[in-house]
Order: sequence, then C-alpha cells, then structure tokens
Amino acid sequence: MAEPALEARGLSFRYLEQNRKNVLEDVCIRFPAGKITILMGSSGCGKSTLAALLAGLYPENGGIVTGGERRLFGRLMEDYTIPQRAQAVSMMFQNADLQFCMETLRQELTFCLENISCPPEEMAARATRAAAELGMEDLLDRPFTTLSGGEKQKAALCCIFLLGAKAILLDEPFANIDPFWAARIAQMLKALNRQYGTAIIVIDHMLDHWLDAFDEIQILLGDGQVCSGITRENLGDYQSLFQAEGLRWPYGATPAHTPGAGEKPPAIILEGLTLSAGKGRHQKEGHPLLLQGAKALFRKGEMTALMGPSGCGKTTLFRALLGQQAYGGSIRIGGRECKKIPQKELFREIGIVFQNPSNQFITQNVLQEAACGLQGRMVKKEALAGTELEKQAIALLEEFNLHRFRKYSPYMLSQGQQRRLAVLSILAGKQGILLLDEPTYGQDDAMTREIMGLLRRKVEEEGLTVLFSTHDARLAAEWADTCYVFSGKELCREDHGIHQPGV
Amino acid sequence: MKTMESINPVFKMGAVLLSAVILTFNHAVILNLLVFAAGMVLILFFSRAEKRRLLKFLLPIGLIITALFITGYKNAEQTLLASFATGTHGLGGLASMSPVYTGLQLSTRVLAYVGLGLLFSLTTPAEDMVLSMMHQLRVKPKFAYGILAAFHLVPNIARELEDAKFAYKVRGISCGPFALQPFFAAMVNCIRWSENLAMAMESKGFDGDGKRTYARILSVRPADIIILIAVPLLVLLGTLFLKY
Repeated sequence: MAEPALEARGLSFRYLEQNRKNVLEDVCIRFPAGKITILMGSSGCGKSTLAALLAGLYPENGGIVTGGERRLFGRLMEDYTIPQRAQAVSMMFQNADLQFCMETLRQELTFCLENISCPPEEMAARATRAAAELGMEDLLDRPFTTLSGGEKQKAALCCIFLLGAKAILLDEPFANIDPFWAARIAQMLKALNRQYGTAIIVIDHMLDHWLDAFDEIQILLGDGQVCSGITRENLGDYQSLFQAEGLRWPYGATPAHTPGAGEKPPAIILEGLTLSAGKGRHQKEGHPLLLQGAKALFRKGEMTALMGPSGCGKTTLFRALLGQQAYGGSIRIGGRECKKIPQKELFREIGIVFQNPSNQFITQNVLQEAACGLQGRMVKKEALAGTELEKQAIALLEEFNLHRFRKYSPYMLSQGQQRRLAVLSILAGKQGILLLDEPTYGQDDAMTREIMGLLRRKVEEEGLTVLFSTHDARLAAEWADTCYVFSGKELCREDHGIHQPGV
Repeated sequence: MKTMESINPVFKMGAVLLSAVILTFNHAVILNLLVFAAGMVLILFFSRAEKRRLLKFLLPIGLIITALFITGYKNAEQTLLASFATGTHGLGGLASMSPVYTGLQLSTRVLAYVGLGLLFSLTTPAEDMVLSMMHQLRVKPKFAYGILAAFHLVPNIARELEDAKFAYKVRGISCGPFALQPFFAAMVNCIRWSENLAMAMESKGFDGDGKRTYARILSVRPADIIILIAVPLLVLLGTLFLKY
C-alpha cells in the first residue's frame, strides 16, 4: 500500500491536563496521498481537533498529546520544521476572515513565500503565477476587507497552492459561503487533485459538493473508532450508519414539509420595499441596492425560509424588520408600519438569533441567561436563588436539554449548545415573531433537526412566526411552509421550484 | 518628490518621540503652534495621506483642545484671584499668570502632540512599520507580524462590538455607550480569533523564531539619520529661545 499522506497511530489528545477524558482516544487513521478523502462524524466527535493535530497545529498551539504518533508522508510530524511542514500539508479554515495577516492577497502571498525562505527576486513572479493559475489576478491588490466570504476562501486556497502543499486539510471550508462559491472552490480543489496529485482531506457535513469526485469517506465514531473504506461504489451500504451517527444522507428527496390547510393571517407584509447595503438607520448615498420594490407576505404561525447568495440582503432585511435599517416602501408588522412602531415595542414583538450565537449572550452564566430572557431585563445571580424565576428558568433549560450546564459560562458550551441557548433565551421573551440568521451554520444534521424540530413545535403549538435565512435548499424544503428567494433585487416566492415574483 | 512615507519608519518614530519628550519641558505657545503647523503642512502637502482621514481625526480633537483651553483658563483665573485676595501675587509673573495664556499653554501643548502623532500615524503604512521594526530594531518576526495581524483585525473587533451592543438592545436591556458588558462578549471572541489567526499563519509556514527571507528590506539612508537628529534639535532650540 502506498505511503499515506497523513497518518495517526494510536493518537490520544486532551485540551487540558485536568480534563477527565481525552477528546481523542487511541485514534488510528490514514489518509492516502493523491486522493480526495472526506472525514465525517457527529458534532463534537473531535474531527476538527484531529485535523489540527494532523496539520501540526496542535499540540503546539494548545492541548496535550497523551499517546501515539502522527506521521506526515512517512516522517514523524516532529521532524519537520514549520516551513517544511507547510510545504507538505496546509490547512484551510472555516472562518475566512481569520486567515490573513496582511492587507491584500499579493502581500499575503509574499508573506507565504518569505516564510518558506524563497529568494526575494523570485517572489513577485511566483505570486503572480500562482494567482494567474487559479484565475485570481483581479483579486491581488484588493484589500481583504472588500472581498466576499467566497473570494476570501479562494484567496486562502491560492496561498496553499503557492506553498506547494502536497496535502490540503479543509475544516468545513464552505460553512460560511453560499452554494455558488462552494461549488467553484470544490471544482478548484478537484482540479488541484487531478493535475498535481494533491491529497485533499475535507471535513464536511454535507457530501453534495464531493459526490462526483471523492475517493473515500472515513467516519470518526466515538471511542476512537474509525469507519473507513466507504467509496462511491459501496456508499449505499452505509445509509444506516449515516443515520445512526446523525449525518446527512446525500441521496433521496427530503420529505418536504406540507403546509397545513387553510390560509393563515399575515404577520409581516412587505410592499414596494427598497433596501440598500450598509448598516444604519438612515439611507446613505452610494450603497448598492439590495431590494427594489420587493413584495412578500410572511404568515403568522408559519416558518418562512429566506434564501439567496451571500451579501444579497438577508441579514439587512432582518435589521430592517427590527427597525435598525433605513428602507423605502412599506413593512407592515401586525398591520402597523414598522417605522412607526416604537423600538421597545418592536423588540417585544420580534426576537432574533444571530448567525454567531456567542455574539448575543448578555450574561456569564447559563441559568442567568435563561432568567434574563424570561424577565426581559438583567437579573443578578444572587437575586435569583430560590425564586419562582429560577424555577421557571430551570424548567426552560430542562426543556432544551441544557439543564446540566446551568452553572457554565455560555461561552464554554459547544456551538450547537450555544445555539440552543440563544434560541431558548429569545423564545423565553415570548415574542410572536422570531428571526433566525443561518440557524444551521456549523451544525451537523442531528443538531439541525433538533433545533428546527423544536421551532416547528413552537410554531404549531403556540402560533410562533419564524423567519430563517439559509443557503441550504434542502433545509428550506424540509422545514419551511413558504420559501422566498432573493433574486434580481426582488423577493420571489418559490413553490415547487417555480419562482413567482412577490406575493 | 520624496514624501513623508519614504522616511524610514523607525527613524521617523524616533524623531517624533524625541521631539515629544522635549516638548514636555516647553512653555512657549508659539513653538507648540509651530510644531502643529509643521505637522499639518507635511501631511497635507508632502504625503500621500488621505486628507479626509485627517479631518476625521481633527474634528473631535478640536473639541478636546477647546475644552482643555477652558479648563486651563478657569483654573488660572481662580488661582490669580486667590493670589490677589491673599496678597501673595508678585509683579514678575503677570504675563505667564494670565488666564488666557495658561489656557493656551495647556491646549496648544496637546495640539503639538496631536500634530506629531498624526504626522507619524497618517504617513506610515503598518506594513512598513513592522518591516522596519524587524530590520532596524531587530524585533522578532513573531512579535512584529502579531502586531500587524492584530492591526488588521481592528475592523472585525468594531463590528463584533456593534453586534454585542445590538444583542442587548434587542433583548430590551438598555446599556449606556460606555457599558462594559458588551465589551466582554467582544473580548471573548477576539481571544478566540487570535488563536485561530495564529494557527492560520503557522499553517502557511510562518515560524516566529525561524529563518525567513524578505521581499523588501527597508534600508536606512543618510536623510533618515539627519531627520532623527535635526527635528528634535530644532524643537530643542525652539524650547530654549522662544519665550512666548
């Protein structure tokens, strides 16, 4: 068998000495050179930790290896210097914003070449050549702050390509970008694999972009076991394993949600709505228009999905609904014009769960967070003990399965738990309308089902109105009663794949 | 034409810092005004700095300077009245004790510091500063690039803080513009980012202590040395010979 590109033998790892359990326990895994391998596993099983270990970033940047060894193209990881290692394996991260230390791609490419001690006289030509090869000459001198998420991920790939890494590890590279860019970057990676034999190892909870090209799927199970040898030919045999691990099965139609009978009354009506980019409660000149004369109707007691590419205005529309963004035309909430509703009243009516839930915690304790949600104001930890409010908060945490974390800081919870806590604390406020910005961001299938199922229950039992933005067409089909797509500065209702402008 | 950007950043910083130290011993309003004016002329006519950015800084600073003038004025007025009342007022120090003059001394000194600070910050690209720190001051790349990376994160931090404040508002909890709680959320995220960014840099082969080559090495020219010596010297002469 050919030398694997990356290999872990009996690898055990924990983040802190005092942790009772290892995050990874006796893991044995091999990623072959020159192949495209997908690494899957349920949320929190240690995929990202394993990737960081195999990229040589842990334990140097945190944690302790308590046993086993890592090999990179047959050599022990420890035998590589950092620049040598970068030329063997490089990693692309989930968050496109946090990958660059320079201002433009040209500077960043030069920084990479300096790192591997490239002779200065060759640098300019090599950087330009790498950018040209991946079709990115036009991005070279644009500041990163002006690039979209997809463009930034493309720029990150350009750096990896320039370093000449023989293996690329990607940790959920498409979590923050829309399907258009995800497909383009996946194409580029496949081309690198075909042309240069670069080993591609991707952590992804969606197989959609890789179905036509992957060589093997490996699933990291609990207790250090790895299920390997899943290929395109025998994938069908593993459907039950996918389900058992809470992973999304890529084939077969999702059971689409069938809206209940009877027209429900409108909760929000948009008419002739004009929105432009740029934050602010006052319309500014020069910002591009996101919506022009858009019409839509969101019904009470329904879940509505908002879809469209990154930057199309989904979050901006949410800001407008919350009275934080200037708009033209009309937004009527419960029959009243949004602009005329006092802000406090608006916030009593509408709640929002942010894309990154860690942005919205207002206390340093899970129980307190729930209590604040119930009370609608800050509640001191000391003032909470033994009160009726504490009992209510605990009951709420139990309902959301967060009870055992009540003494934790919200920031110590996993991504999925953080999102549940965010939803919980907003729902506790008893607002009738809930906005969710990308609720599936960074979640596996099981976690997504849990959150969406919970919302569905609230919608059906309590008549909650839910509006959620997503890139994921399957999610929208499965959970939403109605779906609107941002298309050509309008909102198009999508019924069974047919666009219908407006209501 | 040579611009302010072509001066070696470390030498430019040295000249600015030395001048600022000398200015702390200065009492002459004229010198303060001259330093500020020189800074503005250099930014406006001998640099590639964006003029709008200069204005953005100057407007709030103008308010602070005015407030300082009033503070100095009021304070001196009271001291003067008190010394007349107690009969301890001597004839010699009349000019220097004038409330207007004291107000001017206080406010123009800050103005001079502002002029020097803006001259340096608006005409020095962050990347050049970091290169110069590594080449002239022998600062380790780990430290120098760390500063640069943090510098580029600033817009994200501002955005994060805005989101955190918004979260409070939406939950119906009012917090003032200087409330500390939103900073906590933003800070937690910043720490997480810095770890992420450090790993991304290492993944691109960055070894903070190891060997590396440089596409550009900022050299030291005779003009840089002259600037380092001449600018503080001029300020020193001003301090010695300018009376008011």
